[in-house]
Amino acid sequence: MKLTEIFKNGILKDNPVLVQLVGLCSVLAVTNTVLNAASMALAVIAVLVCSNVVVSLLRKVIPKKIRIPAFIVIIATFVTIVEMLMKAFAQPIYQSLGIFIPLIVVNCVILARAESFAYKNKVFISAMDGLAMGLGYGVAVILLAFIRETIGAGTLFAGTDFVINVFGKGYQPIAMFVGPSGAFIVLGILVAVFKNIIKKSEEKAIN
Amino acid sequence: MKETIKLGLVLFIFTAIAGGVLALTNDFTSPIIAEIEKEASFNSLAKLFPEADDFKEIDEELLGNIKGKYAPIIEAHEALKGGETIGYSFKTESSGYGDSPIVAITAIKSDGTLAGIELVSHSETPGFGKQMEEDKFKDTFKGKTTETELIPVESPSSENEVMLITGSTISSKGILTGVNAAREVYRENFSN
Repeated sequence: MKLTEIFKNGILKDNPVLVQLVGLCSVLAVTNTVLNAASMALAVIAVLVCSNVVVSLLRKVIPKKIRIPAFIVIIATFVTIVEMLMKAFAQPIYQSLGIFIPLIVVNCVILARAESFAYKNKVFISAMDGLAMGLGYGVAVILLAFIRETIGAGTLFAGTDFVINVFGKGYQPIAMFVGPSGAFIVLGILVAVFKNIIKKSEEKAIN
Repeated sequence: MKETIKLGLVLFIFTAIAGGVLALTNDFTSPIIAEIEKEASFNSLAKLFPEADDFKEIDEELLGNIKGKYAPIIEAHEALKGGETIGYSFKTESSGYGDSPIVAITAIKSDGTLAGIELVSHSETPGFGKQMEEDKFKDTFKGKTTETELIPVESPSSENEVMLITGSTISSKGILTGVNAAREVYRENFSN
């Protein structure tokens, strides 16, 4: 499989959030600010790449019958490592992401990639698949957070030194967009737009 | 049977290695995490006692007794400057209007006046009870007496009156439950 194809799959055709619609719990929860979304994306990318690499390395050692528990142990180990490192070196981000860091363990994107890709492919290509899927997740959550933070809080990059008041100080934020209902609505619209774009580009490719 | 044992053994090796890796990571990160947490809790204490150079938790047995008698108290520290006690701080938890309790720190100087209060966490309504985060509310506690119960009024003037946030009586009284408990504890155990 070619690298470009792997990245095209991860980010566009098989985008874990916008096409496969998996792991939505954390997607809805962490996309209230761009900073949260980007930090979560980094954590997911780190776990995805590491677990894919280890699963791929051990693919001949892990017996087929117990592959799922073995994957879970590997994934949980990396998630816990990420959690401890975040707690030690990025405390404020750790606090604002809270429970959603340990919950990466049950993010089905990661288990799905271990099962359907890393267990059957070589190490390098598995690492690239993890990176591509992670980037797909990252693009989706950052896009979602970008829209929600702009409309729902009137800011961008809140929590960093580069806070922008998008509509000026007098803007009355539409708080619903920061809440869960706003997350669902924005995600729904994003999925529709994304599907439409992919469909159009596929039609173009055929013609 | 043989296969089951083999599978179990393989899984055991996996979990053992995972455990080892985690133990190593924990060894490396836990001192850093402990340091950060200590600093965070000292930061709010340092705001209340800017001149203090050290904070010491009070005797565990005494704290146990205090907690038994005054439910809102959860922590108590002694503020020190050059080895001498300059005051006490009490972390309290009391219910307000929001779902989660108001957690606040009340600082009392050794001369028996309030050094001030700091909020640790709460879930009071923005625009109403949340105003307790503002300095204009917190500042009304500074210098107040510990001798008598503090009461909230709209325009505080005498030494046992603090600000009542308009429209948020429950929040104002909620935080006072904690502050008054801290005040009683101080009078009972630490004042001269």
